[in-house]
Amino acid sequence: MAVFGLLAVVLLGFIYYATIDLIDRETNNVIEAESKGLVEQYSLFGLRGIAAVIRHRSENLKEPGAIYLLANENFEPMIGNLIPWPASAEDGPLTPPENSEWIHFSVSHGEGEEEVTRQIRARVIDLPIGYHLLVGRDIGERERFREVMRAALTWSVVITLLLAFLGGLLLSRQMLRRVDTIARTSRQIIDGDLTKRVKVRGTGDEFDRLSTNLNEMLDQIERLLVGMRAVTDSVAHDLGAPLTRLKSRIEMTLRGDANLDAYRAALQSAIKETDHIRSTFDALIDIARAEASVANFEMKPLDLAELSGELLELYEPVANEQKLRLESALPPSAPVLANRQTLAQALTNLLDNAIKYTPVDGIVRLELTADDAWVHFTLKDSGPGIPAADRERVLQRFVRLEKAAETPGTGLGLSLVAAVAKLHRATLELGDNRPNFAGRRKGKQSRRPNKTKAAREGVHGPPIRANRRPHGRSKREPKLGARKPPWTLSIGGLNIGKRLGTVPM
Amino acid sequence: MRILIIEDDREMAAYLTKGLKEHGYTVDHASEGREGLFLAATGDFDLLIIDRMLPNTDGITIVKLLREQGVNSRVLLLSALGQVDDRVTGLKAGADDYLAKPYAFSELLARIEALLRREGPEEEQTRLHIGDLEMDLIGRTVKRAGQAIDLKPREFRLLEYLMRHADQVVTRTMLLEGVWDYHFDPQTNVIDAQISRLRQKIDKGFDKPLIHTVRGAGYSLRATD
Repeated sequence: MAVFGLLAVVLLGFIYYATIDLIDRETNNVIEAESKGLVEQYSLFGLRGIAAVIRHRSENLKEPGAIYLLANENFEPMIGNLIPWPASAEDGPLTPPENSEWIHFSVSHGEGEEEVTRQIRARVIDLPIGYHLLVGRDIGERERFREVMRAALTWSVVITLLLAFLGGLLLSRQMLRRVDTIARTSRQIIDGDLTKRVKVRGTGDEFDRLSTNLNEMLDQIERLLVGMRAVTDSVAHDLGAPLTRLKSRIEMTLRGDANLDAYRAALQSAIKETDHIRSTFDALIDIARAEASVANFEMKPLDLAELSGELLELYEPVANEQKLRLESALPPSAPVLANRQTLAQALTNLLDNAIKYTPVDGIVRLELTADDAWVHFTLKDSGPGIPAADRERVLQRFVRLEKAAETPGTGLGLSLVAAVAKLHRATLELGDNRPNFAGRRKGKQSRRPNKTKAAREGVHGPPIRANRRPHGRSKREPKLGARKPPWTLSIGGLNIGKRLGTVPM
Repeated sequence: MRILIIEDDREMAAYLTKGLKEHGYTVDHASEGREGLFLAATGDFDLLIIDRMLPNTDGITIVKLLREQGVNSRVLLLSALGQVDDRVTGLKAGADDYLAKPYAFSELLARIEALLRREGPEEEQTRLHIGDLEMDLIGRTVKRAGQAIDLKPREFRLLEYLMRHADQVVTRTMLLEGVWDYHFDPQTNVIDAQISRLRQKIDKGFDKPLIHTVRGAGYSLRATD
């Protein structure tokens, strides 16, 4: 603010002096031009000529405040509108100081109350015969103007400074108030109310941006906390149940008069139960870690087409054993940035699900498409599918559909898929193949990030769209559309894709 | 074969000691890091089984210190942290294998066996033989009783893994890790289906099967019954 005030003063000062200087120079120019004209009159027409002009001018003043006087060598006035020659402080005639032709003096007219004093600036020229010529102007106008200017400028400086001060005060008070608001809200949050949020005014200024970031951070923390609470709750509930079951089974075995075979059977079922508990536990930890942060996982460029081919190859025999057709349509390459282990784990979860829930003689189809912006991983099957109403729900932990009750499972598979999709900034969509098939089927879609440009270019494949199984150059490589299934696979499936670039979806 | 167990959980250590002794190993036990470090550095052990979370000195540090001192006993790290990156940290520190708790004892045994069988710096082998089964690692061909067998690349790697671990028990997890580099267990038993497909190619039509199922543990490739 001090800087602003200083600048204002300097600027106004500059305006003031520039204006005064301009007026001064203007007056000087007029006087110089006039005196020059008079001297010319003298040189052309002599004393008579100049006297006539002076008389004429004195009687017909072109502008108020013009002063003319021609005096003899003793400064006795001869003709003009000023009488007598102005006196100096020492009572002699006023003459210019050396090296100058300019004098300043004041003249009064009128009597008593009506007396007016005028400030005169004049040029004195000595004519060759010893006569003195005085040409002047009333500079009272200038002085008055200077007064007005000075007053105006002083006031404007005062007002500017005052405004600057008030503005600064207001601004800083407002800032302090907003900082206060943020501080107060944080205090409330610290005191335990995690639902509080900092007010955003919608002006888009720095405070709004700060508040928005804070709110987003709080949202994330709240999400994590809620997630953690969900894990704790579900651990208590869903691990509690099998543990109780395990314990009562052991107790019952001990209470009965069991023989060695009964013990063996009981222990074997106990092992099975602990295996189940363990896999539930592992899955919970995996999900929690995937949800916690990206920082835990190393993301590397990866060819999803290659990974898909690998997984297809891994699952092909088991699908075959269950009389399922495992079909695929893969592009030559589908570069993405991913953590191989977690992504592979999520994709195997989907394959596990598809194989588990698709009835015998069904079809499981993996489709992968990659364009400049998106990689879509789609898994479709001819199984019963997930009813639209349940699609949100099945992604939650421990949610198992009623009809799946007889199939073994932890109810965590899709939760992990959802967490891994989120970790990869991919979108997961659960869809339906139904329009083209009488039954219900399920499908999951998720989109996942396509890799950076450099990585993409590094793995450009041939332009022809071809099925590809990088490690399995099998003789019976599936062909796209080689055999049309009883239904057309259109919607549904896990679809993983992402726009190129850094903008998260 | 001498094994040192560095594990602070007494019950766990007693269980391990008992189990390993039953399988013919000589077993010592240290219940905390410094003692373990001292024993490992002075005793002549073939294998160290080290718990990752120990009082005083943690497992990773012990492995690092031992490797710095030039102790080259095989090291198997045990940990409740089974995630991939923890595994990587363990292996980088100089451990030879990493097993997440809880584990089946059969899994532990299989891995111990595999570790102890691994001979120093392996010589570059170009051929593997088990009974009448031959594998040419350079030509990537497999023959049984002189008859060429056509294998897909991944089947070839699966068989190679089994042959390199011939006469040992190989668990499903070991196969997933060693052949597919997947450090998680799919819910579906994909490995069994893979093995049965391999059996179709290797054992079908021959009198003596080479691939044996080890109940409750995994598989074993061996020429004798």
